[in-house]
Amino acid sequence: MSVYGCRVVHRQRHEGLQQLVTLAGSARSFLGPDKRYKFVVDEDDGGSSLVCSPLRLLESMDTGCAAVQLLLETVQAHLKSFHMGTVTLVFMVGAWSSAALECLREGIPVHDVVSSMTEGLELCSEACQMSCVSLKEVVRLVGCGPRRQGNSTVASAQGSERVSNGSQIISVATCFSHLPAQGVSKSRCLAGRSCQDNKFPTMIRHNLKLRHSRHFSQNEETTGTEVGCKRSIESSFLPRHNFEYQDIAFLANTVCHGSDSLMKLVTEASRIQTENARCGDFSKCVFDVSKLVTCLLPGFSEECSCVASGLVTFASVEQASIVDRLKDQNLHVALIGGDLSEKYRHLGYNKPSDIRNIGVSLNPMKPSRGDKWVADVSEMLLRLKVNVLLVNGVVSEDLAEACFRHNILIIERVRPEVLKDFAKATGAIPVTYATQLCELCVGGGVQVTFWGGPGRRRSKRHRAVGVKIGAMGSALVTVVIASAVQAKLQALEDRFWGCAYRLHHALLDGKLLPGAGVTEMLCVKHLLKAAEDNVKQEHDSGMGSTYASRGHSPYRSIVLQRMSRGWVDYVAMLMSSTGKCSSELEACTVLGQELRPEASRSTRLSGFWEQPSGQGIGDGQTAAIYDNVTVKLEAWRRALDLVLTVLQTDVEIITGISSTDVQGLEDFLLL
Amino acid sequence: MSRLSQKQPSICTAVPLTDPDVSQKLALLRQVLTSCFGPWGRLKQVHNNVGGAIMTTSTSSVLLKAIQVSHPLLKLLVASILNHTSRFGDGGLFAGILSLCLLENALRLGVDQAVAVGVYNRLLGLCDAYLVRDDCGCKIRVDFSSTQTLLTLAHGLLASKPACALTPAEVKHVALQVTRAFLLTVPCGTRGRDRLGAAVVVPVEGQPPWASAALGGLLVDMPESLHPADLELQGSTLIRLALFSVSLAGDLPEAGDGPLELHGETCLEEAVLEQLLRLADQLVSDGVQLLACQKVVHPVLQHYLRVRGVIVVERLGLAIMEPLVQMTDAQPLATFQAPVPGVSYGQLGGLSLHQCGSRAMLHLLPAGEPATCTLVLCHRNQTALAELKVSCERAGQVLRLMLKEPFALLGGGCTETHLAAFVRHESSSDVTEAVRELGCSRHDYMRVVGAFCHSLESVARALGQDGGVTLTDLCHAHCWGIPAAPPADVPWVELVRSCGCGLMSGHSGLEWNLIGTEYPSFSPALNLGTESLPCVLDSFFAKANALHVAVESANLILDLKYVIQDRN
Repeated sequence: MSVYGCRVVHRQRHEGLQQLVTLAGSARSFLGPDKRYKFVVDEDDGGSSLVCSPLRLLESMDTGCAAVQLLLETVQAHLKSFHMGTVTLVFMVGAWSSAALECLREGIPVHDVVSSMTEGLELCSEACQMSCVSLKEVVRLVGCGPRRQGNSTVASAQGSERVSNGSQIISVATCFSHLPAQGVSKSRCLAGRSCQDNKFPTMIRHNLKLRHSRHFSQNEETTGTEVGCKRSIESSFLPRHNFEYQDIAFLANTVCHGSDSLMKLVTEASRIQTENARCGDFSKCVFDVSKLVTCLLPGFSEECSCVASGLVTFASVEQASIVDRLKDQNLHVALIGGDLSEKYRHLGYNKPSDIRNIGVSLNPMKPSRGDKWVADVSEMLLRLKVNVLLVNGVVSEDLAEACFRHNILIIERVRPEVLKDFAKATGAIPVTYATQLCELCVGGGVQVTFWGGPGRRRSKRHRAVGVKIGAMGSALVTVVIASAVQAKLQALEDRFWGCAYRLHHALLDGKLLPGAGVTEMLCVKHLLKAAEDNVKQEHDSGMGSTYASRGHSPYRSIVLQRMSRGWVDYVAMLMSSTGKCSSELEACTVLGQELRPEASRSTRLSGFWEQPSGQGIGDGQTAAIYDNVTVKLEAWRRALDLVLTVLQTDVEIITGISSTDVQGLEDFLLL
Repeated sequence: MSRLSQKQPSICTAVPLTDPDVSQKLALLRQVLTSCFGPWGRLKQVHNNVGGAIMTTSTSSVLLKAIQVSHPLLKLLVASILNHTSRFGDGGLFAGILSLCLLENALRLGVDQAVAVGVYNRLLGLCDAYLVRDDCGCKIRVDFSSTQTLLTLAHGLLASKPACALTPAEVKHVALQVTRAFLLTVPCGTRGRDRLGAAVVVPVEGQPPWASAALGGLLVDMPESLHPADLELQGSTLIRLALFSVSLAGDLPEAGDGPLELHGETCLEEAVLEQLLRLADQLVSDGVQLLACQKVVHPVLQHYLRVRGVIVVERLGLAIMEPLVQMTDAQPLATFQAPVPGVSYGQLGGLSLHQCGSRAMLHLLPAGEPATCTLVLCHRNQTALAELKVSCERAGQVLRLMLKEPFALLGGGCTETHLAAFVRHESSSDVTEAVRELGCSRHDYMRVVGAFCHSLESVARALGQDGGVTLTDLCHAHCWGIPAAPPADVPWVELVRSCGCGLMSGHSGLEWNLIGTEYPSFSPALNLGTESLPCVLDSFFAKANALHVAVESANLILDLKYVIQDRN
């Protein structure tokens, strides 16, 4: 019989929080536009991997301790919902864990930490919702001018804006240095918007509505968090805007966060989708992230990455002759949901284990069941004039041979979303078994060509040939990501998806937050303001009655201050990683000066936001940097949830420990 | 050849409670449960020692199920708590803490255990009698004409579980949805059957809690091949539905394990599929528009039905079958080999699409009176969602139990301190009779009464914050908490805002006493004349039963003289 153990975690030196701080510290270098790669080396087998995102880092770590596992769970859950934003999440987990630890060290009760931090984040979320900039304004304010005359390349567009809109970009910094210490009225002073903007009043009205409906009336549904939720409820629908491709390219540039080359792939994909949508009969859809597919191409330099309409994949060299024969024709396609083999059965089918056929006449000339199946299927494919077979699983060798003989192109391991897109575009119906195929299930209008790859060279990867399969009216776009360093491919792919989803969420939200630390500093100012209010009131009216009348924790102000340090750290890290300050310490000093109430505009700091974040572009002016609203706010919330959950945990119960295991361990108490 | 090992003799332990190891374990379990209690309760992380999934919780039913205790005495107690929570939903921690306190206090007194058992029983009777009295000072009658009491109950249950990771506003929203779900299960018509409908909880991970909602009807996963446009084609007429509980995957579910003999060239799969298609023909000719199956449906059958305009919903799972039967009046079919009798078809009022984040779900609307509902619960991660789901299910259970006895008890520790004051007062007035009945000394009797009242007050104290102070007033005997570590220069009277249940506020000339210290016995005054409702309530039914569970299990354990363990 196993006896179970129960271990008590001490409150003063809270292990869980300490572990979180350490873990998050290791992911700090992923923050900012200049990401540093990390090597994770397995000492046992000598294997190593190159990682550039918190998820990959945590995945490659040993999940022995509970904190790693909780953090990994949180990161995975966030990625599942948003596909991006985990660096912020992990950083804030670390920052707030250490804030909570400091509070505990000072003897502040857990409950006060929890309630004040929760309140602090709510205050800030509200403030952020109000400082959002709508996409139209982002594009119109900064993106107007000569851009539309020129061709659609992003670079030239940017160049001209920079000249024409310099003054507005400076307003980012000026607005920032006054940012909303004074509450509502000033917090509207938005980065990247000029105050003469005639749209301004409507924006204010909207904000006020948000503000007033805030206090828990159950019918009104417009508190900050709820706006987020409403949006995410609709998130499966495509964002529809009246944006032109140029606008998208510009918008993408404001949220590219240093991954310029990858973002260029995203805008290119958007361009192709827009063009395809024009050919087909879709309503205005400028960017559909669910119709993007990536294809990794090792061995070529990163400049060879490119975007192609349709599905790009690699087929065996033997199939090249089929492709050659089929190209430039209107082809028929069939879609198979499972494996294409005689043995395959759908999920949930239990084959009876012991079947005997009695009274069978033995006939050696009779073909086996497998052969008969291959003959039947290939005959059916011929009868239905199928030229291309897209299969979700794998195809049995016999059938593949038969198809080869009949010039039927087979593509294996096609993702279900791709099958769905082809189904929609060609009118084909995906089936599970080949025997189900009928005229109705076969779609038409598919083209197959060789995909030359970068530089029109025929890439022969693993003796494979690039094939491009497209259908009329399909929005499917393949992004080929190449790298000469194979170990980097995974990280590049992750970052590409990060870029794609940044644009996707920007379109979905319809608004953006000022980026490059402006939003974080806004939150810091809000928290400090709130903390100051607390102190002031205590002085005004004597302490006791303050608690009694307002229900605030006596430690509210100190907790809020500690919490705001987290964001200061974040901005400092950002400044030092972009090289605006030589070290985090220096950045902290700059920010500290900035936050002093008597400080006037700090030139040093304004300079940081004026200057380009990533690649150096000439005269210190570039498109403003923006962040996604919902993703950022959700990442903060999830980070705080994790920290508070760990903070409130006082006992760790380990099951399955026998009484002999714990002898000599003082920490353990057996239950 | 098998070897026989000799049978071990059983171990018999006499007077198990005197073993220091046992009392240490009892104390540890009490600490664990006490620190879980209330809105300021702390969370427990449970995992195994080989890196399994981590569970974070402070709910007794989840926690006690996950840990396994080593001593039979503890097992007995844990089993009775779990039994209580599975029936009543609430009060598990209360029962556990009270029971352990009663045990420890009785042992500390050194009174003969039989005397302690007798006195505890008598006091339990006293409490019971008081709680059912009309002028009981710690209970209120639930007014069904307003939802306020229901909301307060649901709110209290959610707010006391910090692992749900909800902000105050989110707690309000979810409590509202839970209450709505409960109200949706109450049938409004009087068609002769007045039983409550079912509420099915659908957890959705990844969405903020604001997306939680209570809906009439049932939600199932959207079939892959179904497009939203198809739903509009169905129109607004009633939909005929056939419900299968047997797998339609094409295998032979009834065949069992033995060998199967087939004649000649027969192919089993084809034969079964042929039968399935024959069934499909019948369904189509009977005008069935929706086929629902608890298990898997063969893709060929699905395809066959789809082209004939029948929607196929598969893999419903067992949990939704019973509510679906209730809602549609369909009879679940356990075979596909016989023709479907016409009476077994059910009816649906319509279909629609419910989108929750990226997850699309098919909303089955009831035909006629909807007494079946679905509670969609959303949260950002699994840990919080699991706790939220359990808490909401408990809240639903508590609300349903309230229909049996339309009462609620004051929450926030006020019931405990009030009862303690009442027991103290009542028992001091009839000491002579009690001593005669129980056959013990007057001194012992008074000490056990004191232990009983202290145990009740310990439960109230467990609700307070870490390091905080808990008081009781000497008029109504409500429970008042003072936050932990108050700044030095503030008099504590200033820190008292309102009592635990929120019925009374401070500064009303009350006299206070620290919980756990002696005070002159008094009869707690009734709350007359207050129109306002308390803002924290507990379920009457659950708490009254939890009191029984606690006292009776403590008595049972006190009564144990020997533990006999089989070692084989």
